[in-house]
Parts: sequence; structure tokens; C-alpha cells
Amino acid sequence: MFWQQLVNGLTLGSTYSLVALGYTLIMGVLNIINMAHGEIFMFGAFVGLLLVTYLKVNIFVAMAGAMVACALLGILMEMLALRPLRRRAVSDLAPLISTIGVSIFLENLALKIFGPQSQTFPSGALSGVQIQLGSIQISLVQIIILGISFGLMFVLRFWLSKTRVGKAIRTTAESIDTANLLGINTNKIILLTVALASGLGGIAGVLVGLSINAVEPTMGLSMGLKGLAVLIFGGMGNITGAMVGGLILGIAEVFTVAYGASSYRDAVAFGMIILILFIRPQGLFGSSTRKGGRF
Amino acid sequence: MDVILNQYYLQIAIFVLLNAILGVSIYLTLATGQLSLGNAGFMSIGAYTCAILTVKAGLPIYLGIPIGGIAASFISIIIGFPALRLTGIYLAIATLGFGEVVRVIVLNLKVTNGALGISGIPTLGAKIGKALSALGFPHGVGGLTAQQTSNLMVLVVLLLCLSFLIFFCTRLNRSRVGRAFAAIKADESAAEAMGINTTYYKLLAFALGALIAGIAGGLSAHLTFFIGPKDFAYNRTVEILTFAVLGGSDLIIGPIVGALLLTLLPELLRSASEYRLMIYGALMVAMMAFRPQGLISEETVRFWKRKLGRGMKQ
Amino acid sequence: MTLVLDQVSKSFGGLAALGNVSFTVNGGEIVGIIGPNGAGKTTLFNLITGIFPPSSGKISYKGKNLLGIRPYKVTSLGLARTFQNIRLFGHMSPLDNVMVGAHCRTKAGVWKGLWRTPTQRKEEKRTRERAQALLQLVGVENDSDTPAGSLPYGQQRRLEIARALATEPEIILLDEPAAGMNESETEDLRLLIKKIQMMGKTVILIEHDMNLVMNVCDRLVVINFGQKIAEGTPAEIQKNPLVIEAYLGREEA
Repeated sequence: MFWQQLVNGLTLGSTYSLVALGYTLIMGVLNIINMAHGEIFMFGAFVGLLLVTYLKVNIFVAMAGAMVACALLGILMEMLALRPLRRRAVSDLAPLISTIGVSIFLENLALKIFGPQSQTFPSGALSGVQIQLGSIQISLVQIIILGISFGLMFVLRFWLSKTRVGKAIRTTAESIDTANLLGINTNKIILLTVALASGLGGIAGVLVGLSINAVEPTMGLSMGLKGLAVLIFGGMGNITGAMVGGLILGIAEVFTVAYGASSYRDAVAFGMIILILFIRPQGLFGSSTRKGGRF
Repeated sequence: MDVILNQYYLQIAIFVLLNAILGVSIYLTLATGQLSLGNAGFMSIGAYTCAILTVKAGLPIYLGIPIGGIAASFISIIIGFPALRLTGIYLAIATLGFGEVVRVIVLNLKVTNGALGISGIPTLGAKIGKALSALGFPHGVGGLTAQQTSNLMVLVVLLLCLSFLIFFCTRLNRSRVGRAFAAIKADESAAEAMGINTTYYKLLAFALGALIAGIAGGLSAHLTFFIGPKDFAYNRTVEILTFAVLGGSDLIIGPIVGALLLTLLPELLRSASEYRLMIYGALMVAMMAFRPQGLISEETVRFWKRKLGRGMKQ
Repeated sequence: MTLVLDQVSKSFGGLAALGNVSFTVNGGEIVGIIGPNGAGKTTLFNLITGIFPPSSGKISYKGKNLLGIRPYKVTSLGLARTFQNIRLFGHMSPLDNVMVGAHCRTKAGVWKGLWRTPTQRKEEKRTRERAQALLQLVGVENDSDTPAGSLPYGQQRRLEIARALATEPEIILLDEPAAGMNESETEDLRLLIKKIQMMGKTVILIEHDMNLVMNVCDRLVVINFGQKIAEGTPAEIQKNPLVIEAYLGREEA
């Protein structure tokens, strides 16, 4: 029972980590919170669903499609809602409010296009194969989620620390001005980061849509909130924090449900925010001296 | 007279005033440069506390509403204290999460009646109607029907609330506390270095905002006969925020004008009301890009004063 | 001995900004802190005023330990500062800026402000009069239509001094007050600093303008690469070979 719940918690948590990574990347580079990330995630889920339902593509192609669509959506957001704010000195709240605007726009656009009711993947999308490992039962969907989430997280880590572009992103995260001086085209790097973060969100959307087999316009808000909770819990702009924080939240939620308080599942994330703010305000892996992010 | 005082217009006027009061609640928190995304949550606490007290415990409305406000502001202090020691972003996220938690709790508690909500709340209009007939005016006053009179009285009550709030904020702005708020908004660490306990004043502004949101919640419960968890969802917070974003949050008049415009527009443009929230979203993005200070800022007022002053002289 | 710094060090992420700096400041003195750019002078001010804590060492004021005390409390204990990069409340009028400075010496809260009680009105009147007097002292005109941020540069620097004085400090810390001023403005500033001293206040001054420093200070502390390299009267400092080396560089043979 315990081990079974742990596996379920890890699976759920790995999707939270993936969503939180999107917040973290943008926080790290731009020092802002992208309040629309949850809605981009939701659009990813819908794109995946549409591709599987109407074009009958396989699930991995659908994920790639969702990733590309969300990356484009992210680029559009950066150009329309974020870049104009960087040109003039505005308060910290401006990008926050601007992305809240994007989020409410996207959510209601989705309500208009797709309707409020929850939609499901066609039954053949992924066979309901269950694998027995000792006392633990694990489904094919869970294996795919775990594999893809962890795979992506480690590729991302490696890519940021070892490649040229990754290093440019990290320099930009340290200081946009310094990066400019070093001849890095920071606008391009920012665009790339937002696209990458949004693309990850799109993949997460398809994975979550598959695992709970429900895709609906309001899924963005609740998932976005969990991603934000993980962002604060793990430490703003910290990649390790996002990964570990997501797993902890997933496990905490699964155990809350398993031990009786199922209807309060959505309150766990908030409890974690308040708890961490009281005992370690900079977050689990955050450093207390720096405001911005560091990878 | 009957044309102006028809039921529909009165109803809209009542909602304009209620929204203006909510606009003041977000203005007060923004006065220290903090963004609260929990106003719908605080409204919810105020509305439910008040409705439970008046419906189930039989408390009079005039006690229920302030108690609801105090409950909201008490809880805001618990949330605000850890979040306000850090930068503004933390408060925004903590309050956003808080709003969702209030929704979850309201859905699960027995006393709030879950998803069904509480109905049969005595409306302010009906109470006033009863009071009027007890005073010997069962058929209204001065040629108005009983319903018109009581609706008009509700309007007066709300107008008094809003006027008091405007009075409160103007007085506050020209006092030691108001200067501390403005200093924190302008430069938090410089304000701290000038001897201002920034955490205390940020918490004060946040708790005052929650108090007003809670009172507005109590009022709304007694205006609509019914409250349910859906009335206080995230969309409501975004709506309140849009009042301040459109009107501006430098001056108290800003969010009030924002509330007026955004409550009237969907009524005037019926066909657009379907896209209301999409328009709000686009509006927020556009305002931040082109006019982050909102329609009315201190410079706007200075400009018009100068222009009108010159006009007078000529 | 009013302010005592004992072996104070500060490092940021492994980089040492200040190492074992000790000195004392006596009541009524004007002490200058000089040194090349990036020597750690402003860091010293930030440590004294509690913006961040030192990595090691002790700072005490009148025998009271200042460590772990939040900046606003340090100010109410009697230490006020100005900033190197001017940090006025830009949208507010000059008078309001100075009145904010009086915050920690006044009391009226929300309730009294709302009803304008007699005590509140009396307090408000006194605060305004004091603020006006301070504006006059530093020579800044209050024009409610000109927000502080639109004043000329030199006036902004002097307004910052008035705002700091409004906190009724015993020690005032000035961070490069002459930066960007022309010669006659600097001369006015010198007179102002002397006046502040005559009001019975202690002044700690970070400044690059050597003419001003040598003329106004009773004592100097020289910092280079985060270390105190010399301390003494202006005349002693001018002759100190270590100081000359720090400023002019070692003579290459």
C-alpha cells in the first residue's frame, strides 16, 4: 500500500515538477512570474487531445505537436505582453498583471472554443496495460509520465550546464545587462527561454490529460497554482528546487487522499506555501541573499 | 420618475456601488505597492460569515456585516504576516492560493452547505421594506411603490458606505499613515531606512483591504438572496483587479471609475458581455503595455487642474 | 565613543567586501570615510544601518548591540542616512518627503488620522513646521506642484539630507553628498555639514571630493580593498604613504 502510493505520488509529482520548471526557467531569466503558464499548459492538453482524436496520431507525436504549439503561444505572449513592458521602467507588478491578463484571456478563449465540459482521450490512445512489480501495480501511462518527465528534467539540466546556448541562458539569468555586454543577444535568449518553458508546459499538459483522462479549460488555474506553490517551496528560480518540490507536493497530495482527507487535496499546495514562508522563506533550495534566480 | 427608478436601473446602480467598494478594497492594498489576489476569498469569508450569522443564528444584518469583515481581516493577518516579510510577488501567490483554499473549504464544510450554497438570505431591500411598513409607510413614500422605496434605500445605504470609504481614504492619505503607505510604494527599502516599519504598514494596508472586501461580501450576500462558492472564484478577483488596472490605483477615484465603467459597459454592450472576461484579459495586457498607471493618475489630475485653472482665468 | 565597529567583516557569496574593519566615532565629530571606488564604503553604511548583517564582528551604538536590528529600528535609535544613488520618494512633494522622515518621532495612527483629533492636528502641525524649517535649512523650496523626483540634482541631494535630519538622528551618515555638485554647491554643502555639526549631531561622511573632505572632517578613515589602511586627522592622512599609494598607485621603478 505504502509503496503503491509512493509510486502514484512520484508520478503525479513529476508532472508538477515539469510545470514548475516552466515557471522556474522564466523566473530565472526574466525575474518575473508568468501567471499564464497554467493556461499554456491547458492549451497543450487540448492540442494533444485534438491531435489524437482527429488526426489519430500516436501519443508521442501529439506531445511533440503540443510542445510546438505551446512554444509558439509562449513566443506570442513574450512579444505582446512582456516585451513592451521591458522597454520602460515599470513596477514589479506590471508583468504580473500583464500575464494575469493573458491567463484570463486564454482560459476564456478555451471556454469559447472547447466548451466548459471535460473531454477525454479516445480509448485507444494508450492501452490500459498494467504491470505488476511485486506488490506495486504500475500502468503504462504512469511509466511514460515518469520516463518523459525525468528524462526531460535531466536533459534540461545537462543542456543548461554544458551547451553554449544553455550557458548563454544562465548568463542572462545572472544579469541581463552583463549578458548584453558580453555580446549575447538577450532578446533572442529570452524568446528561447519562454518558448522552452511553454513547450515543457505543453508536454506536461498532454501527460496530465492522459493520466487523469480529463481535459478542461479550468485545469490551467489549478495546475498553475500547484506549479507556483512548488516554485515558492523549492526556492524561486532554482531548478533543483522545482524538481524536488514537485515530487514532494505530489507525494503529499497522494498521501492526503490515501489517508482520508481526499476533498482537501487541493489545499495541500497552499499549506506548503504558508509553511515554507514561516520556516524558510527563501524556499528549500533558495539562497537568502539573492532575489533573482540562479540555476 | 418611474422611468429612471425602474427596477433594472436601480439594480445596476447597486452593482456599480458594490463593485466600487470592492475597487477601494484592492486600492488600499495597492497603496503600499502590494498586489493581493485574495479579494474574492476575503469577500467569500465575509459573505459566508455574515450569511451564517444572520440566517442560522438570527443576528441582525447590521451586526453580521461588520463581523464578516472583521473575520476576513483577521484571517488576512495570518496569511499576510509570513508573505509580507518578502517581496510583493510572494503576497500575490500566497493570496492566490488562499482564494482557492477558501473555495475548497467552503465546498466541503457542512455549515456553508457545500456546492449548493446558502439561500434564503434576507435581502437588505426586504428588511428595509419591513422597517418602512413598521414605521407606517406600507405603500412606499412620496408616490413611489414600496419596492422602489426599499431599493432606493439600499442604494442610499451603499452610497453612504462608499462615501465613508472615500472620506476614510482621503483622510488617511493626508496623514502620517498615508505618507508611510506612499513612501513604501515609492521605495520600500528607503522607507524602511527612514524609520518606517514596512512589514507593519504593509500588513495594515492588506488587512484594511481584506476588511473592506469582507464587508462587501456581507453586503453582496444580503443583496442577492443567495451565495454559493462560484460567486467568489478566481474570476471575481481578476474582475476586481481590472477595476484598479483600468481606472488607475494612484488615487482613490481611479478604481471607482474603473468599477463604474466595467460594470456599465457589459450592460450597454449586451452582445459583448459574452466575451467580458476575454476583454478584461486583453485590457489588462494593453493597459500594462501602454498606460500602466491607469486612466486616472496624479499627472492626469495635475494636467486638468492646470488646464481648467487657465480656462477660469480667461 | 558613540559608535563602535569591532572587527567587522562582510562577504558576498565568498567574495570579501570588508575584512576586519574597526573604528570608533565620538559624539559631535565629523568623520570622513574615504577610499577608491569599490573599496567597500557603502557596504559599511549598509552594515551600520542594518540593511544586511555583517558576516562577523560587532557594531554597537552607545553600548547597544546593533546586530540583527531591523533598519527602521536603527533609525529610531538615532542613526539616519542618505543614499549614494538618490532614493527620494519621487512622486511626493519635497515637504511630504521630509514629513515621512519624521515618521518614527510621531505617533498618530489610522484612527486619529481619520478623525483628526486635537492631538493629531497638533502633531501634524508641528511635523509640518519642522519639515518646513528643515527645507529652509538645506535650501530647498517646497513647491507642491514639483514632485521631488523633478528637482535639480543638487537639490535632490540636499532634500535627502533634510529627510534624514527629520528622523532627529544623533548620527547622520551621508553617502557621497557632493556627487554631481559644482564648486559653489559644494561650498554650500560644506557650510550645511558644519551647521549640522553645530546642531550637536555627529556626521559620518563618505566622499570623493578631497577638497571637501579635508576641509570639513575632524578625522578620516581610509579604506582600500575592504581593509582599513589608515586613520587620523586630515593632515596626518595627507602624509600617510599607504594612502598615497592607494590613491596614486605604487611608483614603478
